[in-house]
Amino acid sequence: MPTLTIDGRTITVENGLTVIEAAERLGIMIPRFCWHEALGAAGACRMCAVMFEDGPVKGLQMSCTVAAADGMVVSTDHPEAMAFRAQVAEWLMMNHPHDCPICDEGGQCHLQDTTISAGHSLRRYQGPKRTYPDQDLGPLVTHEMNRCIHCYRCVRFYQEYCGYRDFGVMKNASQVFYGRYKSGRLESPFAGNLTGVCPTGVYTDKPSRHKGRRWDMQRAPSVCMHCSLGCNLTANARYREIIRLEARKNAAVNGHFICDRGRHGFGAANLASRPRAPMTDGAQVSLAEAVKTAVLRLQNVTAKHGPGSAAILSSPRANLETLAALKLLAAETGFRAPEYFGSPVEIAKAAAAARGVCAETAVSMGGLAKADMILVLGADPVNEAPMLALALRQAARNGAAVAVIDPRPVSLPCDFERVAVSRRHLEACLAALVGKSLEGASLAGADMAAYAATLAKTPVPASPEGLADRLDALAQKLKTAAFPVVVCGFDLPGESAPGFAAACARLLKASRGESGRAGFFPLFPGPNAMGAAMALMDQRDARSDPEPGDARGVLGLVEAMERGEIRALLAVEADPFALFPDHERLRKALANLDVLVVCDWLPSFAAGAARVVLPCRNAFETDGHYVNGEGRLQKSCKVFDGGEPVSLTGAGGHPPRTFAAGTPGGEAEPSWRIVLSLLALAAPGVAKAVRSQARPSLSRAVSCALADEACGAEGVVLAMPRPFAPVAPALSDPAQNANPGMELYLAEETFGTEEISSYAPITAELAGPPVLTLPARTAAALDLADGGSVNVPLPGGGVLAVLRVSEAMAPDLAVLSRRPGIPALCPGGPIAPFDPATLTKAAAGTDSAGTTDAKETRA
Amino acid sequence: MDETNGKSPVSACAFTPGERSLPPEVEEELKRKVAAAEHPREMAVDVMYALQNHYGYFSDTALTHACDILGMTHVELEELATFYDYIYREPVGKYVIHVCDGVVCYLRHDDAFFRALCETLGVGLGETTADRLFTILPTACIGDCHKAPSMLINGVFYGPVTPEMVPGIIADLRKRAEEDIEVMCR
Amino acid sequence: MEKVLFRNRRPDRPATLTEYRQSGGYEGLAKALAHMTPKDVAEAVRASGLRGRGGAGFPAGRKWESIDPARKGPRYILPNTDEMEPGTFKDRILVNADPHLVIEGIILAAYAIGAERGIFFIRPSYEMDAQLLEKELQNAREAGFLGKNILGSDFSFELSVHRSAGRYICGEASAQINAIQGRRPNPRKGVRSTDRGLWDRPTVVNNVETLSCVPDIIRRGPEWFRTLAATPEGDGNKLYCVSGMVASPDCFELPMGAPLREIIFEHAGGMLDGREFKACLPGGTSTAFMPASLLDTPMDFDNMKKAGQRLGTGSIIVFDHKTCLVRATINIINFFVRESCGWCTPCREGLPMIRDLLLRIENGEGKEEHIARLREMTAMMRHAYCAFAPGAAAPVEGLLAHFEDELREHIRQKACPFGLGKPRCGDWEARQFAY
Repeated sequence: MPTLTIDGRTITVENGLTVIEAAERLGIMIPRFCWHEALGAAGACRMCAVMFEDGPVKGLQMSCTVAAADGMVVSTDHPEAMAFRAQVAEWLMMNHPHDCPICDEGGQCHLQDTTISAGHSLRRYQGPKRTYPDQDLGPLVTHEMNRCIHCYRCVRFYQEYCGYRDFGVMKNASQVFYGRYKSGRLESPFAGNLTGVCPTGVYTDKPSRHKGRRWDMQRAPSVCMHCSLGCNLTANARYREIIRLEARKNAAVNGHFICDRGRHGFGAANLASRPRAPMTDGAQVSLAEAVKTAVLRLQNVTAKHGPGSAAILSSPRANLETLAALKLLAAETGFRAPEYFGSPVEIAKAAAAARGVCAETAVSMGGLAKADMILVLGADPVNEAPMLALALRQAARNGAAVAVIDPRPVSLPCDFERVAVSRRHLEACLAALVGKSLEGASLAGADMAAYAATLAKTPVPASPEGLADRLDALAQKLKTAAFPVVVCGFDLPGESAPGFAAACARLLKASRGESGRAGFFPLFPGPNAMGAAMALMDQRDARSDPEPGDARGVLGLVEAMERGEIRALLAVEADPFALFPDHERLRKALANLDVLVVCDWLPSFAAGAARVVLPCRNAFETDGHYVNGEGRLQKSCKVFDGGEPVSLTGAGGHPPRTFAAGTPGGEAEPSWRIVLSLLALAAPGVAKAVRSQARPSLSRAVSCALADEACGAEGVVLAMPRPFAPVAPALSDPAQNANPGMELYLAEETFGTEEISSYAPITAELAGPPVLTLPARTAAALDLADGGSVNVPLPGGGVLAVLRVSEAMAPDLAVLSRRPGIPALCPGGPIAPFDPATLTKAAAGTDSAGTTDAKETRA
Repeated sequence: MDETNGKSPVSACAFTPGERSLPPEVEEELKRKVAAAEHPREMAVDVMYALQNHYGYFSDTALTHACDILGMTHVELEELATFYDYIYREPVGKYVIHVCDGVVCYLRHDDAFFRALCETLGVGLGETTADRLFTILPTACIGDCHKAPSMLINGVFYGPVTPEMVPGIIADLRKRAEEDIEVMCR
Repeated sequence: MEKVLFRNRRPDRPATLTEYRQSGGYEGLAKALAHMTPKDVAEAVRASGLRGRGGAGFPAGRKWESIDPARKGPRYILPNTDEMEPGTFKDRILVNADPHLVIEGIILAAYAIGAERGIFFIRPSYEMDAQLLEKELQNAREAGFLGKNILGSDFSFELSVHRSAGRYICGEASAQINAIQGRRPNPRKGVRSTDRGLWDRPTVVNNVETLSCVPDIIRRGPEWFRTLAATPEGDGNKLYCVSGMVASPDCFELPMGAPLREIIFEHAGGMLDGREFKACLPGGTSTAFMPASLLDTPMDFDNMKKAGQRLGTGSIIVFDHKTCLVRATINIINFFVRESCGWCTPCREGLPMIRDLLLRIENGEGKEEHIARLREMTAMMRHAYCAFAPGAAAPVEGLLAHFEDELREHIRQKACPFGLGKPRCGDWEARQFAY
């Protein structure tokens, strides 16, 4: 632990820290460009020069490349250091176009700040400037190379940190150029971070170009809504519109970066078609009237048919405040306990995964970088939770072995061992692998030891050839791994998979003793799915029934609607069409309802069909708490107060010069408050006591701390110690083994499938046409070629897809892009039996499938 | 993309050999060397030279072909090709005249020498003759300082050169152009 | 004096393997493999005091002995034949004179450091040298000096030729390693190549002239080697290039430490007719101008350092009284601007700014303050990422140190006092050509 003195102040830091970092701890920001906490030092810019006056190192040195050492005496404001830094700034500004007035980076520009702080002001160079032609890098990132100061951050981020290979650095001397081989869209789904990593305005956000400067914006810390990882963002709003999202640092979750889905998926927030006006039977009313009408109609139904005839539906995208309010509503009115998921299978998976997130095997996404072996079971991170792919890469860069057990041709931006087995064999593989690795290990507790022994005896699936040897080899590696982690997907694996994977992680942890480590990192279907699962378990615990029991998700609701048991539905921040794939059946069931009340901000189909619409605020317009997949409670803060964007009220010009109280289109309230006002009318006596201490009672309701103080900069991890419970892995039926039929799986993709982001106008451009991926042998047998167009017949209608042929997938799976809101792509569920012979080649010259336009309404 | 072993996603380098395909034995030899190398990238410069000489210069086609042989992406090749001054990303003649404009050669000649070259060939500095035979490329320093002023043409040094000698050297090269053997570094 | 390195030099062709052996060639190797351990060989080279001839002058034996035996191999030796420093052509002459002298030196060095593989890194303009070496390496292989179990010993070593695709920076050891690895040849500082070099394995990079001294050190002993130099501080014989405004430019093998005056006026025939000595660059263009007052300096590393100069490669470029040193410096700095790898700010941006100021002065637009700015900026070049920029700054520093009045005369007259008119040739505009 070296102790050193910087500018007269002494500090002791951990081994390995650089002087520039040690100075930061003292609040001294030594000017820098190429050094970045996530990218390390390059020693290229020479801006961080300081004078080492005493100690093991002497003279003018670059503080980013010198490790802090005992006895160092450093002066950052030594005249020689200041003169040198000012000269470096002058050199960097030599060729700069000085176009701050028209540059979006202005006001949030590291070059501006550092030039001033380095003390350069008057321009003396009178020679010619070198200039560059710019490239079109796609719809998300603008390229303006004349502003470049050659810090090499972009290429180090893109190639070294992210591992993508279509962007680089060319030429030499002052002609050095960063870009692609030719103009074209950047392939990395993390390319948007170039705008944050670049210290100048070379890379700026294209969709929000020229919409405002930093000082125009209302800004607040936010949490991403587009998967369960819970990456941290900063949202920028101006004129009642979300303009741009930026990455916010959270070392435990997303580090310094976010993915492009999270960065550009917010478009629904600004849609003209958002429900902003409270409506009753198609007429606009005040919110109070709409709430009153909703309560009256719901009570009408329950008076006639009993309290259980009114059901409540929410979803994994609602925040904890809303979930808590709904629980209260159900408890006080006798309406059915809220549902949050689509089906009993999903509920089982979510509950098991949530139980698996325990103190014994808790690991954060940031913490994955320290794992030395990561087993990924049935997950496709790039498509499902992109930042997880980036976290896996950092682990691999640190030497971790990564193995992916999945039937799909999963790709990762790092080397990994691919175990392409049938979906039916995922758990068998994990069982054999983990069991073998634990042979001879000491496990405290007879039940653990017996369980491990059973796993070791799991028969290894016969195909693909050589699987047993490969699993053996992986087992040997797993045996010696000091910190193994099991990552479990949500959508593709079977019902027992998350529970089984969690149990495996517990075994791995137990075999490594008190100080040993093992991790379990599950994916969930939404930003607050973990919160919803916890709410579900909470409901059950209150009934002393440890199993999800009654809850059957939207499927249960539909069945009850079909039986006539449910006659009223209150959907709060939930679109049943997004949760339940059989749209035909759902439409029919909803048509049978007497009352449909929707409280939402998304212009969903359900919102369009509801007779009572209660518009609510989204996460940018109200504070809310969310629990991510590792059980981390985080707060997303209000950026602005909601209301219709000025670009709409003013039709592109100045807003109307009328005066009124309130904000145009600003009737929406946070959904939890709307629910409490429903409660106030439905159960007046109780409500007052509850509402007067809303926050504490909500806390009680959801059993976790919602106090602001508890939610620090990195959030609060809620994983508690849990007892171990063995879970039997699902092993496929030998009969099925003999003649495994092919299945079709509707897969999530980076762009275009996740619910909220699929509404963003830009998503259609990013998603592209649907893709059908077939195993090579199947395609060959049908004489279908890679890149051709095929017609995929589905119960709801045919879909035109581009064919991709792969050698790297299980032979019994076909994968089709999922596209929400388009019934043709949603048969009985995400996985269904499939006969590839029903595929037909599309006629040459046919338009590529156009059914992917993100519709503003789901009519 | 190497699908069987999980590698970084890469856009496909769609290369289809055109009419100027490398002789199969040359292509096989290059691929064999790449496969035998400890690390395929160490063959990058050799492959670039081989393809540059085959295609006449390191064109986009040559670059795509190199991607195919080396298993590298377009931008990865471009990163290397544009750094180096003996890899030509624009057309050059069969004979690249590296006329030295280093300080020693500068001391030992005046304008007349450069002018003689340009006038004899009818092109300016950095340009290529219409018959695609000659390119004049100022370079420093070619390593022939004791024979300054000097120039290097396809591996052969010419120095000390006077303006009067230039037409003769060019004529001689023109005569030899047909049967002249290729050198790796032009 | 006894010629060692050039003992087989002919005007028309390289020496053959047979001719080399007749002069004692490969006897050193046979002796080492039969009677000496690798450590003995390294110790002998250290005892000889041999210093690197690539420009840095680092003791060769010490570099070899700095390899940590615990570090995982394989180990590599890279004979650096990238010689691109303007004014330097000694390595080309040497390889063409006696290729096997160079080859034997490399094999001995490989033996000393335990290298299994060596790679000649040859600049593209030395294409003919590459072909020559490929041919002679095959002859050496057939004679049993390369390959498995050399001369019946346990030592196996293979040597091959790698052609560079150009650029001066490839001569820098860590950049060369990147180049061989198929990466952009930026230097890589903060890691010693003897620790983690080629493919992150221990690697020694030596100049070919340095390596060619080794066979005779082993054959005749380090004590003999110590008798060759002209000064006590010198080591062995040195190849001095002389070019520029002299009557007989050539490469001369002389005792290390020969006086500058002797090299220029005795061996290189003195100044051309009608020309007087004004200045010279002693070690290629990354050294500073030396005025006539320093002509008696012995040309070895230590004496040059004492005189405030740098020996570098010992490649002397001679300037006469009719040459404008400002214009010559512009030509030199233009070379460096063009060859910069573009990694760090002082080199990539600072050198063009220095060139701009010099151009203004040469064009008659110079101002008094430009001199102070030149002084400040050149002094800052030593804080660049590698030694390229400080080298580029050296001639400018020499100009400022000894020829400031020539600069001031440009400024006072608002024109080049040598009456040369505007600088000619488009290269100062850094126009991009075909590459």
